[in-house]
Order: sequence, then C-alpha cells, then structure tokens
Amino acid sequence: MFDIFELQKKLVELALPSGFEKNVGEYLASLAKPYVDEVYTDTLGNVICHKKGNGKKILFTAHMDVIGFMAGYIDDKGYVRVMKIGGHSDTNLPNTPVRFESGACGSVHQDSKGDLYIDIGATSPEEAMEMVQPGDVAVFDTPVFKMGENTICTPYADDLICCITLLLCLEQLKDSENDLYFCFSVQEEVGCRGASVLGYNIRPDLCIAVDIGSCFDEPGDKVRTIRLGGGPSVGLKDNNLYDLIAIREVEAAAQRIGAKVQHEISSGGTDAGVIQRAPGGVSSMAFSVPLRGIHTPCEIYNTEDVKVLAEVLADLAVNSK
Amino acid sequence: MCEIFELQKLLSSNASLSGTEYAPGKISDVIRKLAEPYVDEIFTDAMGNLYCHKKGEGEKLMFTAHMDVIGFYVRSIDENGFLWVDGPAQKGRLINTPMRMSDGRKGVLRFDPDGKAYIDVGEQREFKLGDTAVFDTPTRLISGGKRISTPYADALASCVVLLLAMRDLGSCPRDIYFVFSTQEEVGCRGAKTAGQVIRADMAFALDSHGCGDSLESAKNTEELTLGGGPAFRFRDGKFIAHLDTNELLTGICDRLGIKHQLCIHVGGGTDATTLQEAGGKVNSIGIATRYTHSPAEMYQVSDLEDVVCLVRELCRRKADV
Repeated sequence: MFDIFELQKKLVELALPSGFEKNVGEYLASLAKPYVDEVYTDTLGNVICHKKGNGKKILFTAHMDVIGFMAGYIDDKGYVRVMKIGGHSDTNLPNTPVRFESGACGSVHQDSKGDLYIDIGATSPEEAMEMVQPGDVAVFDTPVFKMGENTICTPYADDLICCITLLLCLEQLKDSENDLYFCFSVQEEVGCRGASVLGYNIRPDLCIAVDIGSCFDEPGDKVRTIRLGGGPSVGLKDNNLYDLIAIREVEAAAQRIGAKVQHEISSGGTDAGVIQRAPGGVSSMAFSVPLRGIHTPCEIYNTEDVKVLAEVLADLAVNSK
Repeated sequence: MCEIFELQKLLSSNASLSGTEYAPGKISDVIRKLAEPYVDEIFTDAMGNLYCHKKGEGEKLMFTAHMDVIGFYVRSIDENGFLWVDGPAQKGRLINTPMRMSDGRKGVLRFDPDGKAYIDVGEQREFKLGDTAVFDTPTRLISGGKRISTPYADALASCVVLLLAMRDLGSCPRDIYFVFSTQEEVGCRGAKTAGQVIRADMAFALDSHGCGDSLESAKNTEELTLGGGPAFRFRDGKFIAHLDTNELLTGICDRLGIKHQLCIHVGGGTDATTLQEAGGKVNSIGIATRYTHSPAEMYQVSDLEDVVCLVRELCRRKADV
C-alpha cells in the first residue's frame, strides 16, 4: 500500500527542476513496474507505464518536474546568481532554504536592486565555484509535515502528489480492456513540453492530466470556486478550454462510485491543454488535487481529495467505453 | 560530528518566544540540563532568567546570552481555523515560512491582501489565544561545514557559546555567572533584572550582530563580515561600552592571536543596554550574522569558536589582568 506522506517525502528528496527529471523518473518507474506490462522512457525523458489492452486508448499524465532555480554565474563576492525555472514569483522567495543538486545548501535573497541570488555561505568566489557550477539546479529545502490527520504541507505538491495519485490508481486498478498509459511527464513547468511529445507519439482517445488546482478558501479570497477537502476538482477551463466529452467521462466515473467532485475555472495551463492539440486532436481535460499556496515552498493539500481522485481514475480506466 | 551544529539544531528546535522561555519543557529546561554538569549551582528568578554559577573568589564576572527568540502569538482564531497572529509581520521577508506552535504542531505563515499575518494550520483545531509560534525552517551545516544556516542564530548561537565556554574551566580567580536571559527581543527585560540580581563587577552581553557582507540592503551600515572573528560593538543607539572593557577585549584577542572586528551600530540594542544600569563595567561580544531576524540566519562556525576562546580567557585570565 503506497503511503502518501512517505512517498511525498521521498519524491521531494529526488525531484529536480524541468529538464532534470531522470532521478525521480527512475524511481517512479520502479514503483509502477509491477502494475503494468511495459515501462519505457521517450527521447525527452517522459516515463510511460503501459498496461496493454484492445479497447479505448486512455492517457493519464502527471508531471515529474518542479519549479526551482538554475545557477547562472558566481559573482565577485561568491554569491550564486540564478534564474528561476518555471513560473514562480520572486515575492514568495525571500529567505527560503534551498539545496543544489550538487549538495550545496543555502538560502534565496534579493539584493538591493531586487535581483535574486543564492547565498551558499562560500568564503570566496573560488570556493563557490567548487561547490556550484553554472547550470547546476536548485530546489526548495523546506520540510514536509502534517497539519492534522489528512493535511500535508510540503514543497512540490505540484506536481509530485499527482504522480503519487497515478500510483494509487495503478495499485487499485482492476482488469480492463482499455489500453492504458500512465505517464510521468517532463518539463511541464516551462511550457508542457513533455506533453507535446506524449500527445504526438501516443495519440490517445482520451487524455486526463492530473495536476493541482488553486484553492480559493484562504483569507482575502474573493472568488469562491474550490476549497481544500471539497473533493478533486474537474477543470472546466483554464488557459485551455477542456473537452466536454472528457469532462463528462470523469463526472460519470465520479457518479458511479459516489464521489463528490468540485468544478473550477482558473488560469494557467496543464499537460491536457497541449495534448488536446496533438495532431488529430485529443479529447482532454484536467482533473486536479485542490492546493493552497501553489508555487510557494509550502503547498498544502488534503489526502482525502487525493484518494478520491485516484478512485475516480481507477473506475474510469476500467469502465470508460 | 560538529558539536556546534548539533547544539544549534537542538536549541533552535526548542526555540521559545519571549515570555515563555521558562515554561516547563521549554528552552530553559533544555539549557539547564546541558549546563548542569559544568557549574556549581543553577537558579532562576521571576523573570525566568537562568543563572549558571561557577563559584570562585575575586571579581564578579557575568555573561549573558538571551534564550528568547522572535516569533508570533495568536491574537484571534477565525471560524475557518486560521490563526491571526501578532509579531514582526514583515510580509516581504517572512511570507511562506513553516512555523511550529507552542505545543509542537505545525503551520505556515501567510499574509492576507492587507498584509495582516496569519498561520494556516490545516485541519488542526483547539488552539488558544496567546499560543506562540516560532520559525520551523531547518538548521543546516553548509559550505563544507564552515557555516551554519539556521533560524535563531540570534541568540541561540550565543547560548551555544556559553554552554561550551563553561566546560572544564578549572579554578578561575573570579566568581562567574553564565546567565541565559529572557525577553531580550522585547526590550532586554530579563537582563535588566539579572544585572540587579548579580551586580557584577564586569558583564558581557553575547548576541548576534548583523553583517554588512550580504547583498540584501544597500543601507546596511554594519561593517562586519562572516569569518571576521568576534565582533565588538563599542557603541550602538542605546549603549556605550565601558572604555576599560574595550581594551580588555582587544588585548585578549591580540594576545591569543584571535582576529576580531569592530563596529559602531546605529540602531538596535543588546542586553548590554540594561545590564549597564546595574552599575558594573559592561560590553557586548557579537557573532557576525547575516539575514538577522529571518528564518535563514547565517554565521561562521570559526567565529563562534573564537568567541568561546575569548569567553574562557575572560574567565581564566590572572586576577590583575
């Protein structure tokens, strides 16, 4: 039985920013392997876990890459000048602990001009160069912890909890005629680039991207769409217009098992939007884990929402005709 | 194993807000257990100050390091369970910080659109007005073991100094008090009482002193750098050191070959401010610290070791020096 909290911690240790998904990909592949017929990696690094069947071709995706930083250069005081990877905001970052892939640890700050730098505590530029090279990537080094029995706070719920959701689905999957692809995609945070390759190569009949949906139940939120603990969220529209057929499929599966879902309209994009536009077109939608604090070092989700999402997917995978 | 790192980690994970230091099981109890083997008697007062007394004949010498830290306390709890808090509510510096409540449960510090601070504790309930919250970011040994990134270098690193300095001193020609003071962060209130209780001939306040060698603020006027050794702030906005003690400190450093650094600080204060009111000769000794009052303060291990040497020599030097 996959333990959500333990897996979240393990994936946070392995995950790296877009373009550097190999470590977490290998780990996810090893966990998925017992439940599928074949596991392979494509040219961009997407990990595809294929459970063969003669029926409908269904593609589920969750992305393995996370937001973070890449070192650009070491300045003359020994600070690491970085660029952000992924669309996250400078205002979330002051004094955030971070960790480079090389092992060097430090914290993010803004200089007096407002430019970001990472302080790894090097005593000289030469020493900094030994610890971090241009191109090295860094991730948030904040803790993973519980806030109650069913609430987890962690860096990188986006989108590691959704990778976990796919594993939870696989674990409970009954035999199906359908041709099922559980894909851990790459480079979503920089433009859903892995997804475009998946769409082109696999050409599914139906695509469901499992991603996160922004909660609007915090102080000051005026919009009242989805909330933590209200159930997984059916995306109607973000920067993409999701396909009604795909949306109805998910709603039907939820109804079959008596699961309560929420609905959201929002901004941003997911792998589903890109796959929708694969040559020939694909019926696609996004099905999300409600999340507070998206793209901050402390994201918050409810594990019951996660479990219900996995159950809906498991039903859809078998019963979608 | 780096003992300074282990002690910093232990103290930071037991950090207690001003006014709660002496509650059962809090920072005072933790420090008392560590100090017990090395001194002749330990007692407290109504302010919660912890006095560790190494008995001897001659001049009465006193050191303080404050064991309280900055943080937040709960002012109100709304119907959705969010904890509205009072404290150093600087959104730009503290947003998205993991927090630890007084009973050990965890949350995240956020800010509403008006800049008011609250803590999201997920589904956890049954908190009370007056519950306290401290930073729960990790303590990490960085830069190949040369520096430490941690919440609460201020002033738990100074507490580490006293805990190390008091060991195996042998017989010293003076009567020595290592005092872990309370409520420094809200106006050096513990030290005001402790000074009167002990009425030392000479007293030194240990604390973190802000560095000028990070890039954060062009307005930072401290000339201190990490690795520059013990920092002597001969004057700040609320305190002027006794001239004899200036010579004493620099003289010892020169004699022992300890590099040290001098500065004059415009604002702020240390326990020296209120210690002086009791009438002895007072000075302050600083550990240069970057990003003070943030969840990611940084200091150099060798600076702390140098302050330990300095304190031990202040204890052991001949009576007429």
